[in-house]
Amino acid sequence: MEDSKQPILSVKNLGTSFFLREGEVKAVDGVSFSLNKGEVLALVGESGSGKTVTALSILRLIAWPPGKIVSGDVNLDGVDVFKLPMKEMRNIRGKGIAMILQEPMSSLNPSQTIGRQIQEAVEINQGLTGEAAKKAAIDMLGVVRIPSPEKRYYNYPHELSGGMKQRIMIAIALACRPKVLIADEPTCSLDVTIQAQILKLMQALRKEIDTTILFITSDLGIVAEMADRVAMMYAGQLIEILDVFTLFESPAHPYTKGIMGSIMAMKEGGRLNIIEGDPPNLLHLPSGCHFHPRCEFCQDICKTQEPAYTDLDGDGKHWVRCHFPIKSKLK
Amino acid sequence: MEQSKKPKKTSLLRRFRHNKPALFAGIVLIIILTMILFAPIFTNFGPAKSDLANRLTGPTTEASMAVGVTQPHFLGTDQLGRDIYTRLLYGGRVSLNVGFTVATIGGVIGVVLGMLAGYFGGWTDMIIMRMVDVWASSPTLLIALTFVMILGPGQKNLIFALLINSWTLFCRMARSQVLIIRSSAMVESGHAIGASTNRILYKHIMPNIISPMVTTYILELAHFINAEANLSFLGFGVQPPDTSWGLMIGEGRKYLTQAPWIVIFPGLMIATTVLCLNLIGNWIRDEFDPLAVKL
Repeated sequence: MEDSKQPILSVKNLGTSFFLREGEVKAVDGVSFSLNKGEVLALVGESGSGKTVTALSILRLIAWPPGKIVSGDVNLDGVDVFKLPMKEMRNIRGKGIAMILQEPMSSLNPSQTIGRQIQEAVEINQGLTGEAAKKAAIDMLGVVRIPSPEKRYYNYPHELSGGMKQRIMIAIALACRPKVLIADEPTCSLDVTIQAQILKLMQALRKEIDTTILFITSDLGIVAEMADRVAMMYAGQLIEILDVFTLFESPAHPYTKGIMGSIMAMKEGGRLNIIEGDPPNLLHLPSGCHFHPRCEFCQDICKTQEPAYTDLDGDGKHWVRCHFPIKSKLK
Repeated sequence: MEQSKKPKKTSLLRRFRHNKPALFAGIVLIIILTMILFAPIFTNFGPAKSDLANRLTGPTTEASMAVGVTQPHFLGTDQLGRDIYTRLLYGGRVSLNVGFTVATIGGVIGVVLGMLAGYFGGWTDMIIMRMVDVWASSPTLLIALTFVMILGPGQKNLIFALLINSWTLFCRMARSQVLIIRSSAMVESGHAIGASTNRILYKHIMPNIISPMVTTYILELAHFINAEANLSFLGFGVQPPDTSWGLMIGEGRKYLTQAPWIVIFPGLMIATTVLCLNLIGNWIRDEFDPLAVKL
């Protein structure tokens, strides 16, 4: 367990579907990845690609009906999460994996003070009560750099700005002392200066508390800032896992390359490269490789056969799901 | 914004002051409640004490000598010479008792069931809400009448009969509110930190549905005071010599032409109480509705 190579969280072949009147929507289809202790893995993809559903599935927070986890294993530090009875899931949520949700504005209970809400997380997950729990909650407010925490303890969510609410959400998540922290687009509804503050805070906290983070985002700038490794999602599938330097140097999947290419083109002052076409309708996925209708390197085999994962460099660090991975480097 | 250590909550009473009708209604209601609760202080007569010499006397300020009590029949007497004013106070106890009991018990049952239905959904929701549909599709008074007929008249049976239907509105209201909150990020993040279902229901959902429930409670209170009056009027409520406002109207009906005061004053009491409750209910609804324009 002390071995740093041992992944703290591993997800294998995760599949989550929503069963609608129109048919089955495979929101997450065969996703596998693992997180080593202390690292930050960014889960990247456009909206609707299944990032949030992946995170919620790991915590088994998919509401049935219509959603259901149809396949997969999640192993958190030796515990097989999907085999636990639902009652014991409470011990995983919070203490095992805590999650910061997308919407800081609506994630807090408007009828309780923020202090009480942090204290709640402390009470549930650290087993403290009364004054000790209150003190721990006030400490957490200090940890997320809220000025004059003793006073702020008594504030209600409507008295805080969006950035401060997001800090409170981070404080609540960290108060759980999680083994893994899932941050689901923690900066998405904040303006740019506040985004920068929150990211800075998270980076500082990462060093201080040494947490393992699954960072969900669609912003490649944030990926470059935060992540050690990157997992790209497209139409519910993981299409490429690579470390962040390789991402900016030599992405192998045509979709990843397309996205990176668009940034690079911007840098050089050229026209913005776009990936032709629209993301597929999850109800009627293209046969074979889901990306083939938009892929500039599409061959016949891509239309009929789903590609398997290929280990590009043979060291298990760069996996790509493509029949014809790109070998060349980005300019 | 610099805040003192424990910020003062905006006083509800202060805001109450700005709504004149609600303030007025509140004061009237408090007066009525006090007089009813402490009836013996406010009158020297007994509720069933007859003053046969002064039967069907109109409102007067002259003290009656006959029963040895030096208090005039302010609001007149009924067909047995009983003091209307005194009977209003004692009868009010029954009316309000029935109203409060039915609304409170019905409210608790309804809110709990509604929360369960809204939160758990699926079969729980299906069963509870179909029960509500069945009960609510038949008229309250008719069901209550049927039950009182079967059980026999009396205050307890009346309360029971009204209870059968009283929870349904609360249940529907609570369920619809819970449905909105259940899918919110707030509840999801509660789950994400490992909060138990109970904790989420009572700490996160309940406080956020309480204001519409209070409004419903007060409006339902008015409704059941009315319902009690209706049933008592028909003779299915409390039995003489006890009385309630509805029963007073029922008994005085025969003397409407000779002694209208027997009917008018309990009628006024019912109307005033119900009106006051409605005014307060509307005020609370506006006060807690974030979209309503605050005057």
